[in-house]
Amino acid sequence: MRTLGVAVAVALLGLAGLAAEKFIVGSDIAWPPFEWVSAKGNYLGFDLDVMRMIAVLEGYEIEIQDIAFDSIIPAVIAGKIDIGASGFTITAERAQVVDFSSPYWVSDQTVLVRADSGLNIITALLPGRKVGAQRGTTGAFWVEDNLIAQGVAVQLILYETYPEAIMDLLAGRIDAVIQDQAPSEQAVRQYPGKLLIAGIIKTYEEFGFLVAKGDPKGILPRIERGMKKLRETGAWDNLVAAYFGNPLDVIEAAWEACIPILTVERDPIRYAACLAAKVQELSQK
Amino acid sequence: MSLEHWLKVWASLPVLLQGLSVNLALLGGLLSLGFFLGLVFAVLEVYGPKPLRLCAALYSWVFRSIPEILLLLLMWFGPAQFGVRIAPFTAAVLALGLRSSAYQAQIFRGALQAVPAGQMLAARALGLSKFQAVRHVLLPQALRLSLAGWGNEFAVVLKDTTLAYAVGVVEVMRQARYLGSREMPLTLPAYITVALLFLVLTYAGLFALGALEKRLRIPGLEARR
Amino acid sequence: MLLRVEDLHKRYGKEEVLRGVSFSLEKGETKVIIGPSGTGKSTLLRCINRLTEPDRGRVFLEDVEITSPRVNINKIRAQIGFVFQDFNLFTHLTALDNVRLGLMRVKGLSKKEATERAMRELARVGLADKAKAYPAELSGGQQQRVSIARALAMDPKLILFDEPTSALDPELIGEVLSVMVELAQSGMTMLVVTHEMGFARSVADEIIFMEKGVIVEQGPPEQLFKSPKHPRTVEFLRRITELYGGEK
Repeated sequence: MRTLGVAVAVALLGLAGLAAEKFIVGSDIAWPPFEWVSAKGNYLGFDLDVMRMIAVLEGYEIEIQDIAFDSIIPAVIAGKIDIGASGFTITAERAQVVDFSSPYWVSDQTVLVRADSGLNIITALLPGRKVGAQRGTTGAFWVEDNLIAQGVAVQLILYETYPEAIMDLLAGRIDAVIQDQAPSEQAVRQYPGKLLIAGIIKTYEEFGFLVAKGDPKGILPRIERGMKKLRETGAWDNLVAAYFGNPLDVIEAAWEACIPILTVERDPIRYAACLAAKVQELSQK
Repeated sequence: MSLEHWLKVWASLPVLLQGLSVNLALLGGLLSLGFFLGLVFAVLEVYGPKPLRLCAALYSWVFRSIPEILLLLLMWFGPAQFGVRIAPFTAAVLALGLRSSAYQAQIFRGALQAVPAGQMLAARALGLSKFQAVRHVLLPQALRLSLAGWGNEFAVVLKDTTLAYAVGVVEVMRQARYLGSREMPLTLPAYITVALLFLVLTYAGLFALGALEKRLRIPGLEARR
Repeated sequence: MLLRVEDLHKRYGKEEVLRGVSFSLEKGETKVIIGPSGTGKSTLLRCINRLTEPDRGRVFLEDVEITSPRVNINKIRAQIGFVFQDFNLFTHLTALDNVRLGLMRVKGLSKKEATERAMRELARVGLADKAKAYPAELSGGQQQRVSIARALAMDPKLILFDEPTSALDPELIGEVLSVMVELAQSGMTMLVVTHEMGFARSVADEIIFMEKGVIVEQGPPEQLFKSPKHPRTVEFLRRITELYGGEK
């Protein structure tokens, strides 16, 4: 149980306080750089580290639970998990059934195509084109709402995870993949010369952490307070600098070097600084 | 799918095997649960009093009708409505085990009904109670007859354990997806590796069941069939 | 009186299989029931140990009313041996285990005691050397002899035989009949449904002729075979002689 063991060990941050409160954080841990599983089996990612840092600042424990993306909101509603942290775009529909934190990230959608396809953002989305997206994501909703519902009859193909969409794109079975910007950039990096971001759709999507409607456990104010502290201390910017635009193995190496500062010394601010410095140092090599 | 990607996946084999061990634990749990409940419901359906017979038939019908992915989600979300948090692993064993018990009940029911009626009569004529007759005469014969069908059920539920990821059990399929989401070019090699692992597992399981069937074979009976 | 049957009735749907059958059996007696097929003979036997529940009528085994709902029928059945037409040996058990099962599970004998008793009974039917054989490895005649040993082992007060040789090839009938003859001579109380007139003639203390759910005529073999009173009996004996060629 290596993966789980490490994940639980890392997640159980509030060991100091006996029988401290514990919240279960649900995340679909297959979406770098927001959340992914490292080569060594650790749960990494921007969302997860923010959750861990806030937990230390606010004095509660978290346990990270990996769940399929479209199960997270039902699980929060059902009370199976307490917090959803998985790059959720704040939408009106979702806000009807769960409560969101204030936005912590803004993303646009990108249109990914094969480099040799010659497609651009217009030609990639013409009627009849096959467009892939991950089930339950705003990318999929965007295609439904802004193309199909408007009479642009593209064929929307849904996937359980976005790497499967990318594989189909590379295999030529679909023409484009609609996906958030950061993961798209990761994909382009991993398939050098094969994939191309044909264009950015300025959706200006705001990401939020989510909890059950009415926030019965009073988690949101603590998340807000934690995010505020992280921003004021510069830890937030350090985390962003570390996680975005860098190769995953560099981030993983830096994370392993710095994570004791968070888990053992329980100092989120210094941890973020360490992570940013280490990533920069390693990527310059 | 370059060699480099394959090598990376093979380097991650321990992670995949660790995931596979979760599948095997799930399999062990769900097969045991399914075997025990399946046996009880089969005996009830064949020999029980009428109300119980109907209950058993209803049970079989319900758990064979609901898609397993839905059963998993219901088992996971359902109890939370009443403030009970079942761990993903437990929820998966329960959901898949209950479903398997319904199928196993049908296998055992068919086998019990295939045992000639004279066996029950002879047992009762000796003074064995109905329960003793089922326990000592009917079941030993029915279970032998069940082995082929049971092997089929084994092969099916072995693969079903990969559905447990839907409720957050980190099993081999999920581990493969981790590999793919971290480094997309690994996706296909990882999936193929998992497929190979399942080929091996299914073969090993069916081989073991075949050996068991041979060991339990009743001398003289096959020649007559 | 060991067995007393009083006014047994049994109906399957519209068909009335038993229409008031009464007779009795003394200890050590052998009675043979003859009659056309489908005339209720097997049903009668099964009603006696309640493998089939009679609709009406009573059965007594040494003053214990078997048909009473308060009786522990499993205890009663353990005292009444039953030998089936198609043997019904437990196919998954060896000859030895077939004989031992009732001894251990019903009589509560230890494995050692059960084995000794079972081997004795197998020897009695001449099959000690087949103890480890499974039913499917035995001939029909051998299977039926094992099933007789299985019944005997329980030390029954009475054994019911339901056409014990009807499923056998002609050359195998003899070995089973000779075991039954020996049994009758050793003083076992037996009620036998059979078409073997030779056996009936030489072993039975009394013959019961049944037809259409009632006893038409009963009496000692010489009387019933030589000078039957009832025309139905005459007719049946004439036909059975044609079929089986008289004496055997």
